[in-house]
Amino acid sequence: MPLPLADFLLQHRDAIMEAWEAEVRAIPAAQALSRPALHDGLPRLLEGVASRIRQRPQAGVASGPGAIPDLHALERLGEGFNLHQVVTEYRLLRGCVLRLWAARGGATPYPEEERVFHEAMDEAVAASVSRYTLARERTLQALDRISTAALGSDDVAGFLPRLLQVLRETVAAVDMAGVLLKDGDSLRVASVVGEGLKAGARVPEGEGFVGTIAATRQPLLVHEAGSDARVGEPVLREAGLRALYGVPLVLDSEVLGVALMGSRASSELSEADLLLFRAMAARATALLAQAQAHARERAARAEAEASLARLRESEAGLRRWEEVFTRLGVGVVVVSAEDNTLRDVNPAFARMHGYTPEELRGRPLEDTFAPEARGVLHRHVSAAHSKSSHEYESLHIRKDGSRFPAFSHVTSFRDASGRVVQRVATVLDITQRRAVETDRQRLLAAIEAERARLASVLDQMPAGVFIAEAPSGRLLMASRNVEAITGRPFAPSTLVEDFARAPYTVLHPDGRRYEPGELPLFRSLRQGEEVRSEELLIEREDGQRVTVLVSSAPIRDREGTIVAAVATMVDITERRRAQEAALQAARFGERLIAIVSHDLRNPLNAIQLSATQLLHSEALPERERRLVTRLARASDRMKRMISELLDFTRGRLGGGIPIQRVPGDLRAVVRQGVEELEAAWPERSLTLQVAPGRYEGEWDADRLLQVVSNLGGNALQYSPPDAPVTFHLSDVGEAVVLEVHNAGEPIAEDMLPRLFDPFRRGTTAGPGGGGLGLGLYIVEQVVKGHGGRIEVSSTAEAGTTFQVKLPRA
Amino acid sequence: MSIEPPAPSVGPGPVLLVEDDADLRAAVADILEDEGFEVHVAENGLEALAELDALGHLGRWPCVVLLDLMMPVMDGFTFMERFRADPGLSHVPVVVLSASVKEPPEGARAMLRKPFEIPALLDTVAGYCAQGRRPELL
Repeated sequence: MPLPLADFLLQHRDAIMEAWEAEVRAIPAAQALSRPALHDGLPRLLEGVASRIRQRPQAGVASGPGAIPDLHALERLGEGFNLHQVVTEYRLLRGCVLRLWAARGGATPYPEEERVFHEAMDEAVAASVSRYTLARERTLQALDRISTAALGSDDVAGFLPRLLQVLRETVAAVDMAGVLLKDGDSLRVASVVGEGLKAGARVPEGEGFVGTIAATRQPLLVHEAGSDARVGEPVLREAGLRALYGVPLVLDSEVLGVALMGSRASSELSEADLLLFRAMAARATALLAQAQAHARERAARAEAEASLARLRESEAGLRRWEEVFTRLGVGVVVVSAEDNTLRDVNPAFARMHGYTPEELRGRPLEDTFAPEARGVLHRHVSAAHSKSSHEYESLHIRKDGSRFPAFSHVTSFRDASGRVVQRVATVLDITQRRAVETDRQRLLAAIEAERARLASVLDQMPAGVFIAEAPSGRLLMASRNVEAITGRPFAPSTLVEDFARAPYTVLHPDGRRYEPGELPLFRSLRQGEEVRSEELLIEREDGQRVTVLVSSAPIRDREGTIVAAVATMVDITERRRAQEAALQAARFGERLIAIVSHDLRNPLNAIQLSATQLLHSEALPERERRLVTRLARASDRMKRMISELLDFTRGRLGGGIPIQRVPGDLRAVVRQGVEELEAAWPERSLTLQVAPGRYEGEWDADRLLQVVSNLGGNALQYSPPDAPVTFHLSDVGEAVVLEVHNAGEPIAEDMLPRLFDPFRRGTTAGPGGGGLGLGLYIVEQVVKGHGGRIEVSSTAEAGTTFQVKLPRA
Repeated sequence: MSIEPPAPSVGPGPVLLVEDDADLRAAVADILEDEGFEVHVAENGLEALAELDALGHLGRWPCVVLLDLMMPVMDGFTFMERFRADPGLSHVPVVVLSASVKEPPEGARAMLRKPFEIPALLDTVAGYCAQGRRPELL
């Protein structure tokens, strides 16, 4: 049974397409297409043609080739085929069918079938050509408008709205058009016309409708955007769109973004509209890229200009630094971290080392270090490398071999990987500083030695010494004796007032407590007072009392400000105790003398009165009269002794012999005294010489009579019986002078200083009988009581002269 | 102590000698009596006050009181305090006999410093008691 053409077409469709493909690949636009894209709707066209051939018996109502040629034309237009190439496709297809049909061998059973085949193919070519032409015309118009829209606007933001406006006006079904551009990991709505999307909204790449398009780089069409699962973006689902078409904007395999168009009314978009949209998108991509390139170029230019400006600035900065580097007084050196050579040195660094900068550049860093200091250099280098900066002092060497100490501050510079590439050090010659430091050390040592010496000297002193500083009022030091006296270890920095507090008490001699401000050291420190031998009692913890004499004085600086105060402390407990005992003994003795001499007077007075009364009796025989006379004279002597004793004790106990001065003439007193002496020593020669002058004054006549009597008595007693005794009175202005002179043995020289001491007596006793040795003592007391002075001169040649000078008042 | 007004004098009053030392008291009394004075003696201040009281009752106020200061029982100072406290005695002169004090206690008219001598004693007493002196010794 012969094979009809319709069946042949159906059975050999794939072989036909294969043969066709082999030929059609020659068309340039077809070469890049995938097989499905290349084949497009053509296999179905063959099936449609076959179906038409079979329908031939019912001729007259033959159906056309359907929508396939239309769609194919639009595809090919979108794929860049020209009209000739589209027609060639059909020609080659027709040729392949006929060639294979003929090659099967055998007769054509139904020639009518071949006619219908040609008819169908012709119609398909006609439809494609017509569609292609129409579509191309519309597309060209649209593209032309797009190009016009893009003109004069090289920024994306400016031209996109116009592009979309053109699209919306060109495609009637489109209610919404938008472009999303890649922005980092997401896509941002760059521009939108119509309702449904908001400019600036973002959708993620890789998921949802837009994301899928961007990731797959394939257009995608959905018919119900509100319910289609592929539309994941809420903004799109809620935009009220039905048909939604998206096209990737791809340039040189890079996705720039996605273009969208949607319709509210229709769930379908025509192939022509889709094609047009794709074409517009392709065009928009190019324009976008161009705009972006423009923008990048502008940015690059701006960046370049900015860099240039920065470069200029940094060059100026560098010049400034260069100048600083050159002129700086501090040595600066740049050292290579690699080989520790001097990459650069500034003039100061070179000068410091006695080189020119040129001589030093390139030399090892080590050359600037004294050989004996090089050993530690590596340690400093590694220290500098381990941190950002390092400081050290070391000994450097000059070109002439001399050394100098230097202080270096090293900063390490690192590359991006953190490796130290170079070090910069500032270097200071610290000779001066070292010298000062050495001086200071020497001074400190000297001061310390001085202090130690002072401390040991102070420790050796019998007195305790302590020093406090102002204004703190703290004790600086105390000698060992202070500890010994106070019985308390010395703690430096104690406040002066605290040092005198518990555990012991400081008391005045009368037992009152010392207020802290009363302490001698405190007074010297605060008021600058100089305290001399102030007696105070220290009552120790155990109740033992120590009597001390404290002296203190302020220490002032050149301006007179008190900087410290020093106090000495002498323990006089023993001395005071001995003094006290001696005083007690003396008082007792004096009291004893006073009592005795007083009590002696009553019986003496009785003897004297009775003897005198007896002598008055005329009935007394001569022998008894002599006895009573002796009795009377002895009692008289005794009376005188007692009188002297009383004067002495009065002088000792009562602070001097009482003197009562009344106006009078001293001549009368002296005269009376001499007369009394003449009466008592009738065998001796006494002379009174009174020089012309005035002898009035205020005198205690009784006491001065005693002076004349005692001095005259002594002169008579201690001179040979034939030696005269002379009294000489003279007026010397404010005072009157009485001299009592006798020739004879001089007073022994060693006696002279003690002549006026009580209970001293001469070596020989005269006719007056031995006294108590109080005569001269009383004379001196009386003279002193008158504010006068007594002197004695005694030589073998000149004899002995007592000179009494008595002021008139 | 009497607070009565002094009784009118019935003849020259005696010398009242107040002295604890018996020998001195006797010596002074002897000398004064030898000179014609009437002498009453007391050993201390208290006795002296009693004697004054007694003499006052008789209207025979002493022409002078010779008063020692250092005495047992009542010394001269205490005596003087009591004496001065009694305005009825203000007309009686007191002369102090002492070796030790510089100034006589308040109220005393004069002082004889021990040891005194006969002329000084007689001159002093005569100054107050001229009428009692024996005429034959004048």
